[in-house]
Amino acid sequence: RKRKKMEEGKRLFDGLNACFDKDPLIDELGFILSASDFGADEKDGFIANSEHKLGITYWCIPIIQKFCHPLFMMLKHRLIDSHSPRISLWSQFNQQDQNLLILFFQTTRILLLINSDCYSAFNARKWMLTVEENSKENGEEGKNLLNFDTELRFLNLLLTKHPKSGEVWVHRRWILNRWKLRGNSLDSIWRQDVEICTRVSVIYPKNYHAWNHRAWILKQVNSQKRCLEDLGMMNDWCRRNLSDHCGFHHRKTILLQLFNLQISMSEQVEGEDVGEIWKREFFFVEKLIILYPGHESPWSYRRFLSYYSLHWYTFNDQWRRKCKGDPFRFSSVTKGEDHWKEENFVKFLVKLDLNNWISNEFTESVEWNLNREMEFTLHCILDEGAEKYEKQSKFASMYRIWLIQTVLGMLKKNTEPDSAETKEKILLFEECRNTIESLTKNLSVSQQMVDELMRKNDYSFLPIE
Amino acid sequence: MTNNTNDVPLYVDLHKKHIRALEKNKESFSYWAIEHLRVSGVYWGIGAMDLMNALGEMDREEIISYILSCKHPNGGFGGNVGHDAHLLYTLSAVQVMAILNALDRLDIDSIVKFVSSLQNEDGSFQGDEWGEIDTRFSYCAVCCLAILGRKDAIDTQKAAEYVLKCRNFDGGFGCTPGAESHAGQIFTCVAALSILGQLDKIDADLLGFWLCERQLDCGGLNGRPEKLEDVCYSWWVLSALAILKRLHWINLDKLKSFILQCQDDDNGGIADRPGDVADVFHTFFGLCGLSFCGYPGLKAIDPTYALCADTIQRLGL
Repeated sequence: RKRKKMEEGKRLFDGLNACFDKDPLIDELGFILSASDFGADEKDGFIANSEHKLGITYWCIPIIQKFCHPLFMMLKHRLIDSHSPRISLWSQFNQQDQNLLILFFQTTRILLLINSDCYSAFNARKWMLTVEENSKENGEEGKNLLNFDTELRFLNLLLTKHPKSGEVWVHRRWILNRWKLRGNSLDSIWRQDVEICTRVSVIYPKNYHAWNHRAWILKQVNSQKRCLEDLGMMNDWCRRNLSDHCGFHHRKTILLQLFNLQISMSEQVEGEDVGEIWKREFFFVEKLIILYPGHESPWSYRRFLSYYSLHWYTFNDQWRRKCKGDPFRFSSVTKGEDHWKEENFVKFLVKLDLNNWISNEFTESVEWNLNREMEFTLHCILDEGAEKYEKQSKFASMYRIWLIQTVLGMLKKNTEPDSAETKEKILLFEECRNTIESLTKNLSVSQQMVDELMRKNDYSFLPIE
Repeated sequence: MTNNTNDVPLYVDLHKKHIRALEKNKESFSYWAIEHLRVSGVYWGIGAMDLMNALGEMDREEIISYILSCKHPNGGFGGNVGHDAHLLYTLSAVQVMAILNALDRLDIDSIVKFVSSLQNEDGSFQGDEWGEIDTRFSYCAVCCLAILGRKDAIDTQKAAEYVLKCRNFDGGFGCTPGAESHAGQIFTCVAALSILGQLDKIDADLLGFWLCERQLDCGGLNGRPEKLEDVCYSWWVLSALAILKRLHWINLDKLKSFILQCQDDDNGGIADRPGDVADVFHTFFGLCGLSFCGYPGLKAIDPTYALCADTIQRLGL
């Protein structure tokens, strides 16, 4: 009976692999309950249609694995692990072993289709690709089982069924690094990879691995042009995905990269000045916060923007010279009165073109500074007319606490801690801190935490670096 | 800690049953989905049993044999028999042997050689010979060597420097420099820095603040802003807060109620959130979370090493 199962496993294994021989362009994978639902012969265990889609039935998976998995391990041992040092050219294998390579390749394919975190199967493919390249360079004939393009295509296929898989991206980076080492430019791959990341993020939102990869490839190409292109794509994404913290984090990645690019080049770069971009980002996120209240991600992004504005004003000469005013400017906080000039903002909103989120009107007429931040957060905390008022109020309160702690930390760490100006600012913010309790509403965090923080004298939330 | 009389009890016997049953379930779809990390699965299972004071119910020799069968000549361990050596599973293997008081069965020198060979010049660690870098691997390396008493085998200063490079402005840590702060990565970085004696480089208030924001109205914790609550974050967030000495900043009562609701009261085990399918990963971390909440009948768990306090004491850590 066991042999019957193995025979069935082999039949299913051969059948699935034949799909790929017949159609090397398969681009979508799914697991299905029944092949006959899709018009195929149920005993095949899978369905492959003319639109390059492949569906594998759940029932056949354990049967295939019981056949394929031990076979993979046996071949892996024979072809890779038992050789010390490892085989690095096809010609080092005897004929018998050479004949097993196709089968070995097939086992890696099946294992990964079913479980794309099966990292040993990916490692086997890395080895095969390495030997293939070495052999060709050595003047030998390659086995042509796999190359960069087929690997990328295979990875794209796996992502359609396994969008959460971390190993897929690990393998992808290994492939791309190798491709780069051979003198190719990752810039030509950039758009394709961004597209894949986007597609995967749509299937499985807030996908840490996909967004991490998008940041990686952007860092690899490291150009202002691509950064701005990516930022442009993110405008639409962030508007449509307000709860997607990954999307907002990607903006942070892009902005930091733009800043580093600008300061590493001594002369003004062509195109946008990062200070101007920064300012626009503030109002971009402010629009989102006002128009769509109650989302944590835009508030989180606002923290980033505030932090670096203050940080670079304190510690970066170039930035400070570009600033028109002192962002630390802060005159007073009055409790209970609403100074937020909603009428100005409403006037702006009336003129707002939702198809053109980046507009200069508002950014030029309004200066960013702490005074405005405190008024804005106060407005959000007290505005009971807003939709999702409680959540909005909570996020505004947390932002306010965070901002005060951060400002105090920076004032403490700046170059002139004893100047009269700094001392005055610290006093004003301490007063601000004392009024926090009455303003913080709807917090689900421990009140104890807030109390403890607000009573400390060694203001932490110190700037990094 | 107050006992909310509306809380369901902890179904200890059911959870033990659930874990023991994992040994037998070798034919199913779900087995094949995670067979590549079975060594870690054993660690979570053994860890859970240990927390429930039920280590004696497991077959110690069988487990030791299994772990040793995943060893490679280069000293590293794979995720299951035949799988390639990797830091993740090397740590899990060492943790299992530590719990079972069987470290003497290991070839410690070869493990140390494997782990230290994976450190790069900038202090980072790759997971295996193929080069992927991630702060999780820094933790695996540092924790593994600390358990074996061999931290000296790596450049600890550089290791700490690399981890700190992965710190973000919000106080959190990502998998690589600049990556999004993530509670799981934060745990690995905070624990690594703790083992390396460089906790003072962390702004505990700032990071504690971020971690507290992970608690949602339902009492559960998430791993990043606007993500769903998940029981495994009861470990990642709580252990980081415990190391930073700010565990009291979380509402532990609400969290405890949440974890208890994630139990499967038919077949045992704990799921990621109420109503979902249980698995050994969430069972272990759910029990860890309950231990932090002071749930009676569970052993104390060490937040840095994810081992019970008595194991830590035995190892002299």
